[in-house]
Amino acid sequence: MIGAPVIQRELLSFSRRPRTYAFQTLFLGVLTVGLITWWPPVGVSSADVADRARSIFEYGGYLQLLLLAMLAPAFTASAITEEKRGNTLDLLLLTGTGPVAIVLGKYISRLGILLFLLFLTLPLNFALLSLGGISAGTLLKEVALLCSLAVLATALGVFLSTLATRPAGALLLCYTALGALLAAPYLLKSLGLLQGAVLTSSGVPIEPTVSPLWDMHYVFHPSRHVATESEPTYWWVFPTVSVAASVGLVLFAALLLPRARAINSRLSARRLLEALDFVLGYLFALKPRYRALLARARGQDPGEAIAKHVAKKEARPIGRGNPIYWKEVTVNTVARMKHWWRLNLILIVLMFGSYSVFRRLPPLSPGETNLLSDPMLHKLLVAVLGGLLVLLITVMAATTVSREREDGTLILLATTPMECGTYVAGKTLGILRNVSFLALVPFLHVVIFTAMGLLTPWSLVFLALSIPSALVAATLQGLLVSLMFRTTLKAIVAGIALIVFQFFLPAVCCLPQCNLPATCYYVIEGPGGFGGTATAAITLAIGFGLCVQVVYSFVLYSLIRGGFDQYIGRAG
Amino acid sequence: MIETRYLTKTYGKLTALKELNLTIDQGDIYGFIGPNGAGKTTTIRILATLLRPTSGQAFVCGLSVNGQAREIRRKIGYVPDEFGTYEDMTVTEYLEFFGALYGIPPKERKTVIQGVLDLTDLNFKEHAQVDSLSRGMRQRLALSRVLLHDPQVLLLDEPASGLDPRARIEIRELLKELRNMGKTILISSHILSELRELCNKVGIIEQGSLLFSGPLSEAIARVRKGDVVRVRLREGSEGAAALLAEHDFVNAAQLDEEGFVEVRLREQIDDYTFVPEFLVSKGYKILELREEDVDLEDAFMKLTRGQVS
Ligand SMILES: Nc1ncnc2c1ncn2[C@@H]1O[C@H](COP(=O)(O)OP(=O)(O)OP(=O)(O)O)[C@@H](O)[C@H]1O
Ligand SMILES: [Mg+2]
Repeated sequence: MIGAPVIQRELLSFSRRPRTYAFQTLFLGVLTVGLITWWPPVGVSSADVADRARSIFEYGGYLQLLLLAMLAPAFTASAITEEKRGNTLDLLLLTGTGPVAIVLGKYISRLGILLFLLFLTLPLNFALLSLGGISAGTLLKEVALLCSLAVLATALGVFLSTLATRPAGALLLCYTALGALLAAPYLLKSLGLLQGAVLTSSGVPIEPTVSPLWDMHYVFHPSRHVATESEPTYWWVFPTVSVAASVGLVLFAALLLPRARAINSRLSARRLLEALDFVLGYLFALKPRYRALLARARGQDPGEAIAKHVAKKEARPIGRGNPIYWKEVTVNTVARMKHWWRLNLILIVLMFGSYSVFRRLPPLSPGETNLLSDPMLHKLLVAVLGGLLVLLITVMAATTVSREREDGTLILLATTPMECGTYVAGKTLGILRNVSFLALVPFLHVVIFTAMGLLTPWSLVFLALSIPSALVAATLQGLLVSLMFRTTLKAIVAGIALIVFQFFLPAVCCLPQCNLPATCYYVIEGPGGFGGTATAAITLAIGFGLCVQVVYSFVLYSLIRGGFDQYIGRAG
Repeated sequence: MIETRYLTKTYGKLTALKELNLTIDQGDIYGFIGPNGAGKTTTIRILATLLRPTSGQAFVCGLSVNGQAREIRRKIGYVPDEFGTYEDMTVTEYLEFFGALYGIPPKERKTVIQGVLDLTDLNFKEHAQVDSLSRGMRQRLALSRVLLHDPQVLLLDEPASGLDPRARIEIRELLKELRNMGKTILISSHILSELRELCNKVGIIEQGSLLFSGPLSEAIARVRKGDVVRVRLREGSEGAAALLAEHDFVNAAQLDEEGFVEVRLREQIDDYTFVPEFLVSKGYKILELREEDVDLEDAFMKLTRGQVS
């Protein structure tokens, strides 16, 4: 069979690691414990039991979908990059193992592990089936959807791993693509783009075949999607499409594999950023142009004037500042982009431009008011922006130390008498400065809509308090994660998992205001918000949430401080 | 300057260092020799405060590696065997960055950096990007970096590995200069001939145990079991070998692959002038005579094979 030796080697290295088994046990353990706690108590009516079974089944399905979307990229992002970085790819290719065999071997072995995890959940599903409430057909469709997501996500991961230089790059690209795939129908629908698209003459809409999350919802609640049909008939479209797409991706990856190096050097993120820099620099190079004009008017050489200007800009002394901060904001690839700020500016302009377009859009139905005047929209929008910021900063911070460890530069820092405080302050301030412009976006949003009278000014006050504290906490937790995990890949996965955990935990503890990723949600209200008798209670709750974040930051800092020497010492 | 007492380090079941006792005095250039996996890097990392010993003690400049790590880091310069380079930093920026981390005041930084660049002959690369430097230059840059804060002790882990002969010689000259500046240097290497010119003391380590530690000359004397003299004759080499083997002062004599007569002298016989006299008196014509010396490579081979009790 094609790829058999590669599969064998991969599976061998997986099965040698004790953590594979630990992970499988943990996975099953969590599911079983969840199932037992949710299992309907004795003595309830059979209709209630069926109801409970259906809801367990449904939420279990969503959970598995999310887990798959998280795990598949983590399993595959390093598949090819590790061979490239260790220079073993050439060795593999030299042994006469064809590129198809290599890619297929990697693909099948990793897919096998994921499918095995799904297979392990089957007994639990059968147990649920015995309670009634769901049909075998629904179970079959759910499993088909899950499997096809695994098939697609794994193929995507392997493909991106062929393209990317670093596993972290492949991982982030893969998460972005999967996130877009899962969220696409909701975005499209909320923009009104999905409505009315019809697949067949019998009136079955195209919606349920776009993305697995949506499909899953359709499988469980067909009546919310189509009035006439009880069970979706087009559930097989996504599985078919994903299998076809996966075959395509794997073959394409195999085609690219022998040229992977060349593609890397052409396609490296740094080069792309530099190209972007160039374009933006050209668009925005007002000052040098003005100088050149001035020079020409004075009869001097314009080229020299520009060169002088550039030289002045490129000098970047440390002075008495914090060297770590200096490095973070001058040498780091993001800050290195001389035009990063301009890119942010463009984003902001585009965003506000889109608001004005929205405002002019006619309402969807005659009775509706414009979407923008609904405070709920702003609550959600600002919450999403804030959540993305927290996620971005956590991931950015999570990659800093682990990347230095991977690059072998951490050991150089480790031998200097640098204090933990210097390091943490430098990193935190540096990261915050790099995203400060983006952090302004939710603010500007609230400022604009407060000025228009659509939001209460209190929102602005609360936002001004909660965003900085949330961002500091996010940086510190990212740093801690980064210190604890040896590779960037693991650090990123751990960072994202931490955010997901933080997003769901407060709901369980009934402390919604302490939710770090959703901090901004609770501080935005419409013009009448925070008014009346509820004000004191809400302010208290928000204040409490803030205090929790501050305390959390202190705890994080002391954890970093406590383990600093030890973590940094493991630099080698 | 450096002292370890019963220093032990284990990785899981593997014992990388076994009760190592090492003493290095001020001004010593100590060569640390041992086969791959002997525990050289482990020892140096413990001394550089990057690894915690499992048990035992280690002192650098009288400071303990357990608990006084930060003070030690101010006094040592450590060049790891493997390390990465920063992207997008020029040589000066790189040195300024580390200068700032070592707490050199901004005003002095420029002169200090010029000083170390002069010492390491890297001036002409001042504005080059660090990640575009060749391997030899990176090594020199690494040395510049650890000299910034004028440390008393230098810990160098295979500073010459992977360098071409020219770069190696340059590094050696640089190290000699540092020796003349009175620094205490611990240097590990596989290239023994290099250490020979540089070091006054050597330590030979195998499987985590120190087999020998002391002056270089003593290490050589330990393995010296009688000198070897090699003679090339115009003709009749076999007969000469047989005759010499009978001589009182000679342990053994035989022909080697190149046609030399290899004469192994008895112990305590230092003066080999009797060999040509004897051969001439027997009517042989001598073309060439060479004294074979036991060198570090021999010492290394013999000591690590456990040939010395
Ligand atoms: N992080 C680690 N985890 C487990 N074992 C290790 C680790 N680092 C080193 N070892 C083991 O400790 C022993 C000593 O290693 P060390 O790197 O000190 O040897 P060395 O003398 O520097 O070798 P070389 O000449 O190859 O550099 C080796 O057997 C090695 O496999
Ligand atoms: Mg070593």
